[in-house]
Amino acid sequence: MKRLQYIFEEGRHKWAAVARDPEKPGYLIDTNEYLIVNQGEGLLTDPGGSEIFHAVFAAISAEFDPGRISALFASHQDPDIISSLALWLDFNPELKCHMSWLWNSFVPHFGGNDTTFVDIPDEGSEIALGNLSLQAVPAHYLHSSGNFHLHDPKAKILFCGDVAAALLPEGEDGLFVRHFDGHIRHARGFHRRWMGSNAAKRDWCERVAKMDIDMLCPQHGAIYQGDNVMRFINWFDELEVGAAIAA
Amino acid sequence: MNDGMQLSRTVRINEEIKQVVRISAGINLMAINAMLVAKRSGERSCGYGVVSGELRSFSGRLEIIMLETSNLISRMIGDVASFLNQKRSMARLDRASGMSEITAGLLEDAMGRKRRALSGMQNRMRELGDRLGLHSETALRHCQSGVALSRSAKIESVYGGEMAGILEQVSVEVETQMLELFERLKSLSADVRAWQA
Repeated sequence: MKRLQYIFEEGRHKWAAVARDPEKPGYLIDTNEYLIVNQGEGLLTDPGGSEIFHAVFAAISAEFDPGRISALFASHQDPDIISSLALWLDFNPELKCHMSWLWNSFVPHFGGNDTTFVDIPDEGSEIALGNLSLQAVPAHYLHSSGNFHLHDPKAKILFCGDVAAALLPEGEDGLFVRHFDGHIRHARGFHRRWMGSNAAKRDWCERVAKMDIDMLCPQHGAIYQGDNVMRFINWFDELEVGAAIAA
Repeated sequence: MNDGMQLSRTVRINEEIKQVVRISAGINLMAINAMLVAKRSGERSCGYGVVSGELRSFSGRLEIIMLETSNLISRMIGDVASFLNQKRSMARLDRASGMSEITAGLLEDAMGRKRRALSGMQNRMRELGDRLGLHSETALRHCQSGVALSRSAKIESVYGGEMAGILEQVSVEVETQMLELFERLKSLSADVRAWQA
């Protein structure tokens, strides 16, 4: 089963990663869910697909009362991100889902109604978790047309969705990137094929390079920490993306 | 009870178990403290030392029971969540099946497989629920002997000479925690019986 592991703790302000399920069927892409906690209240990023709801839910329940999760954040509309929405709403009908306005008539096919979604405009917005201010940061076309990352300036953590993702083989699936050059091989193909716009990539790199970030937390793969954050940004900036279109 | 409520109830039971585990860990520490105090006060607190040793054994045994209970409830949460997913899927098939006689015919096999899978899951959950019920009753009975022990500790503290005051203070703390533990275990047992119903 999945396991919840705290990656940042400062009093009642915490981040936890829900990751690595050895029992997950191989035909499902592996995902990381992140639980942000402030003063006993939680926000869950990219809560995951319907097929892993039971594993995510059980992992969270072991360490944190899921009834204290007040909101979900969906970086974009993919099924591995948010197809568990109906199940989360079955558990707590009061949950709100923060998401790009672009998908507010698409994602209801996974669940929710016209009171569930909090639209994020293209330029981004603040999301409050108690007295903690989180920022929805635009990341459009990386890879989805309506795409946001979530920045916690206090924890210096950026949840970056599919950017910085890697498809890790067994035996190389630690939660943190330990050896950058060895790890980045598993990110190259993903970014070249999934990221659709070199202009969008350039814009993201320029913006994120100016942010004070200690951890880059992707939805697939491992977390970049410390010097590896800038190493990744520089690597991504140099990479040609949109590989499915012939040059 | 709708399926979301069943999951909520299972989560509530899990949260109660976590509270019980915290309190019993506290009692374990107090029992160690009581043993150390008894040792410092020497021969006069021999009886107290014996009782606090028994308390330590009690909390060790309770820890094992609660670990097994925690493992059971973790499995149940996963199972109930999976069941919720499958029931949603069944509801969608059912809706499609209800559209016409043709769809009903086409989906008959799929619906049958889904029903059998759901029935299997329900049986497993029922079995886990029964085991959880047994564990919570065992914990409750065990706690009754813990309450008796904590009262014995209070009685023995009187014979502790110049350390009697401290021994009594520790005993009162243990008794208070033990009574709280007992109440929580009673509440937990009741909630588990309600879940099983």
